[in-house]
Amino acid sequence: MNLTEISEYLQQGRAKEVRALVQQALEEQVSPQDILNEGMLAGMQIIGIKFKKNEVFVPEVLIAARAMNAGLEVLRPVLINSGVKPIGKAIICTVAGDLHDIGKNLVKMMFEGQGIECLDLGVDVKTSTIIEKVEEYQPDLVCLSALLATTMMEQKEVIEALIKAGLREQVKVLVGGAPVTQAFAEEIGADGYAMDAASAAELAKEILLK
Amino acid sequence: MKKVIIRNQEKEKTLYVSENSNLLTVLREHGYLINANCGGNGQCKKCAVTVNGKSELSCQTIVREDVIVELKKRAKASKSLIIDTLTPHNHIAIDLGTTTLAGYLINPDHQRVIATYSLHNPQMSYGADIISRIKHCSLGKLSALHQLIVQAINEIIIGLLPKQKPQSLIISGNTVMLHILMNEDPTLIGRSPYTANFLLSKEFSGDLLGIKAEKVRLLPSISSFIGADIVAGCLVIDILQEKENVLLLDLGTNGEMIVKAKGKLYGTSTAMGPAFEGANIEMGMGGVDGAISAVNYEESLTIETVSGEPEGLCGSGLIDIIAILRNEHLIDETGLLRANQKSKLASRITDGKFYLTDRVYLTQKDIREFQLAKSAVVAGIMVLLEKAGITLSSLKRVYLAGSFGFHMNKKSAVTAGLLPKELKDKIIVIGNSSGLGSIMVANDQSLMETCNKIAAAVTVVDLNKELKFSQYFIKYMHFTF
Repeated sequence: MNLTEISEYLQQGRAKEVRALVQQALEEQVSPQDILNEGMLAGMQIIGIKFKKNEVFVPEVLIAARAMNAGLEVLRPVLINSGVKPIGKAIICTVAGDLHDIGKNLVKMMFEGQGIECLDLGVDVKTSTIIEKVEEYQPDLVCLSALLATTMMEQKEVIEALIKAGLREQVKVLVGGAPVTQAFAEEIGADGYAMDAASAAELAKEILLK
Repeated sequence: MKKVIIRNQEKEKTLYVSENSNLLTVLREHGYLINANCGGNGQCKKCAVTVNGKSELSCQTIVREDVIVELKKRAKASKSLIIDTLTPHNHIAIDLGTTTLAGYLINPDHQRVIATYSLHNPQMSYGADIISRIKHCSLGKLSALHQLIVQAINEIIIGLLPKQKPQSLIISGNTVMLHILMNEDPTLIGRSPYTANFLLSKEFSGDLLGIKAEKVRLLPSISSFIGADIVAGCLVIDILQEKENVLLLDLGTNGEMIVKAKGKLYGTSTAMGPAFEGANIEMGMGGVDGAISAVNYEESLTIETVSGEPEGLCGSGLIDIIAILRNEHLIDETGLLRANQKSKLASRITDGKFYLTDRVYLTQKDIREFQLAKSAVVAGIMVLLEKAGITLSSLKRVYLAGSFGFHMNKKSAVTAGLLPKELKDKIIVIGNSSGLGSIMVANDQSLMETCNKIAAAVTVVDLNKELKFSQYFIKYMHFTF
């Protein structure tokens, strides 16, 4: 079983083939960790690099992610049973007042492609809800998306709320979205900024593995 | 204090500013109109000036020592005068565009436009798009933005009628522009649920705002993102009397659209961003001096500019070049720029950029930006028609409004996927219908009532609430023939 085949089908968005090959690999006693890393995550990471370079675009990422999810449906129970853990946990959402979700969804897909478990709170999420969920879910990362110049200030609100709730030290906060910049991220006290979904996932992985 | 010498064309001015002042803020506050499409956060790269001989982004420059700043050449106000007798009855109509203000002197006795006067919206230094302007308002700049627009309006009035006050001033524009004009904070328009402070038409004495007109009347708006500008457009095409299914598209920053379907009116807006005004395109610019506005390819590639030597690409030029590259299969269906050797134009691709001239190029990222914008438009049209209960083929006519629509080549627009191909033979370009509609009201003030009726009759479709919009947005990102 050549795990690169899974990676290639994933990149092409061939969900059916990915699912079938993952099943076959399991039957051939290939380790679930290897199937995950060399078959699935490798494929998603290649897509991430190409997306960063604009060689593939949003639709390609979405269909690759769909293929990855098809494979994960088969693989997940086995991974859990063999004690394979994600490299970290992240809460991700679009801030209050903002309804845009495509960017956030892309980040989530790329995170999962790096083996990070994500809790997606959706869009227009109240700061108080984010705090609640951080207490409940205990993530390593809190990732905030804002597409409008007018809603990006909410990212600052969230950081201040985390401080007030005594949770700031427990998480790393990453921010992103079209009007957000490195300078803004530093100004509001975020731990990191990324310009696109693939860079965000690489940054997250770097932070988690430190 | 640090000395800042500003050289603007032949004029020189010396300012003394506090150390560590931001150069863009200094320039802006002293009345210099610097293009800051992204609102001043370092992203668009359009605010570059020369500082002590070096090109620098003014928004990222902090004044720490004495500097000499040289500004780029700017387009001046343009005016034209059709010689005619001025009777005592003069009215002025103004379209308050996000990018350009267009003023028209009307003489209702002759039912004519006697003169025009347009200028760049001075708020451009606060950002090219509406959201950036809203943001600055929420940060305390409402008064500054308000003053700028009042001054610009007075400049138009004096330019058209140096010796008298017009009897009335009729104004149309998008909802945010009208809020800023009225000194009303548009902050709530910038965040969900996006509510406006007012939508109804207004009438007041010019003295209220320091505007040099006896009476000022604002056309009504439909919603926060569907403005008086498209109401004016509806007036121009006499939409209330229209018996067929028609679509009115205003492809400015807000991508506003109104459809008349089976006797009912529906409207929506898909904010496609300033892509067609060049903001997210690396060599993009507005339709001004130096902008490539048309590109043709038969035996060779020919380029047309608005005027002068080619320095960048404006919306209509962008659409033309993308259509050409698609036809040549130098851009594939997914939007990837490929050096397809079967095309003679392949030799113009170097380092992932397609060169239109030695200096003006198109990048892969530009193509992606275009894909996002055109997908927003098509997805918006498809959802609007679905909510209105009609198909593309049942549309009898499609009216294209907005100055961008005016210069746009219809065939290119369809090839580039900006407009669905089913609409190709139904397109009628109507130019600046926001201006035309306000001219109609200036000529016959009772038409304000018709505008009110139009605004009240439109059912607003909120694309944020339509799941189909996200799905279509992804679906239409690719190019199809």
